[in-house]
Amino acid sequence: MASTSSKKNKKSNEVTILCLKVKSQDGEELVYRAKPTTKLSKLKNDYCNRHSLPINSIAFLFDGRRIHDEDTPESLKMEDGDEIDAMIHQTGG
Amino acid sequence: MSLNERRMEAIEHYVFEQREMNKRLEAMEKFLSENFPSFNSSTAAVHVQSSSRTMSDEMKKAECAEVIAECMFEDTQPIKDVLAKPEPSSSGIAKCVRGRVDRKAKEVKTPYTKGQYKRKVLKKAAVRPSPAKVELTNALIEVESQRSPGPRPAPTKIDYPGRQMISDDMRMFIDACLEKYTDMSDTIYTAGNIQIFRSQIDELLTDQYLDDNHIDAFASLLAEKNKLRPGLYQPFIYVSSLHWASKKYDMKSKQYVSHINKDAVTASNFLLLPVNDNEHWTLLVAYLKKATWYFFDSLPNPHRAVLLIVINHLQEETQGCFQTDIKTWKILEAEGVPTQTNGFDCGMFVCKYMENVIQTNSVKWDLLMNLQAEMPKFRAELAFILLCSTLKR
Repeated sequence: MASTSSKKNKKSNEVTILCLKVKSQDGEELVYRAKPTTKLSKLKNDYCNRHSLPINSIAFLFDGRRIHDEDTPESLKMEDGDEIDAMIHQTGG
Repeated sequence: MSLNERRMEAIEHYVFEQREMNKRLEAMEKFLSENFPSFNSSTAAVHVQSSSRTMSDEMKKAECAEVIAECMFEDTQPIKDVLAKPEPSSSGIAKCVRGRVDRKAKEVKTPYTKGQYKRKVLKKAAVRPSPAKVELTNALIEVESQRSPGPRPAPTKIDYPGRQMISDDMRMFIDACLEKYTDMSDTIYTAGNIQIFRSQIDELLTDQYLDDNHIDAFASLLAEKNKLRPGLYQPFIYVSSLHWASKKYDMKSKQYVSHINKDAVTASNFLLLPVNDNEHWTLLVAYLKKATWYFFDSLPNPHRAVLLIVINHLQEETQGCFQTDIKTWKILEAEGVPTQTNGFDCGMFVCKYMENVIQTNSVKWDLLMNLQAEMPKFRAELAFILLCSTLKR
């Protein structure tokens, strides 16, 4: 994977764009195109807006890790086609 | 629509209106003549010629009765509506617009145009696919072009219930922090995969439900404390509630138990496993040395149905870590523990159970019976500790 991305870099001399799948609890998938340096909070905000959820009411999980707002695909070493799980916070009283 | 058709419609419309008018007048007349015998109908009533459609007398009577009932029992709403309408101004555009609105309203009222109009709309709606669905199923969404959402301002002052129960220093510090972090998305605390936002601090302070972030953060604070002052608590293993939640939604969940292995199990005395089911937090504790599960529930009705599933799932993913099969361990209900009296503190109770179970001296629950009264204080203290972590950065 690393080799292909470097090839792309050589070809276009531009930043590659990753496709990231966001999978919700009921199996529905959304595909986002994002630069490796895009903050993943942008995806989260868009996802919340699209599903008319309050911001920060869901957690994005990548390999079981909650994605922080400052995280980027680069910092988490995400690759093209990686899957992110969107989970609504469990609350209780 | 051809001119002829339009004309026909206009005539129909006119006739219909006249008929309505007639009906009303007749009704009024009847009403008046019944109630005021002196009223003479022949002089007062002005009959408008009815349309080509003739009605039988019985029908007329029935309709009259209806209209009378309307007049007698209906609210004065229509009158109010008339009164509420603004005075017609003399300006040309306003007149035009009002005229058009009136015309439209009339058109819709007539039974003929209404039917046509409705059918057309329905057809159109049926042909057009719903746009939202298409967008959600196979869309590539560009994130780059989107603007980040605007700031979500948070209140700089919160009058939380535990305010008078904590020391002055804490109160001042919390107030200062609330003034410093004024956006709901400001990050307050991060540890491992936990992130606490300003909005979650507000939830904590103002008696709202706790979410998995809060519970995980509390557990990580306990672990941190134990590292700083060894011997403060007995060694324990914590499993995030996401472990079981991921299983519920068919997601990978093995990474939440990757820290469990044979050495860890033999080195620790407890395994803490908060369970969220049906918007209620409960705590499952494995006494590893006694090979027994204890179940802590702050509400009287035990939510036991999920426990076996949770334990099964844990067993599947941690095979070989425990000396005996954890499925065969007895599940006992913790008795005589303090319970909640309101509908929002169960998350806090789970935190307190965790803290007390791992105390070095075995805990005496009967000394903690007024835990509920102190919950606002604990909430404020937890918020204080979380806010303190901002100082390190």
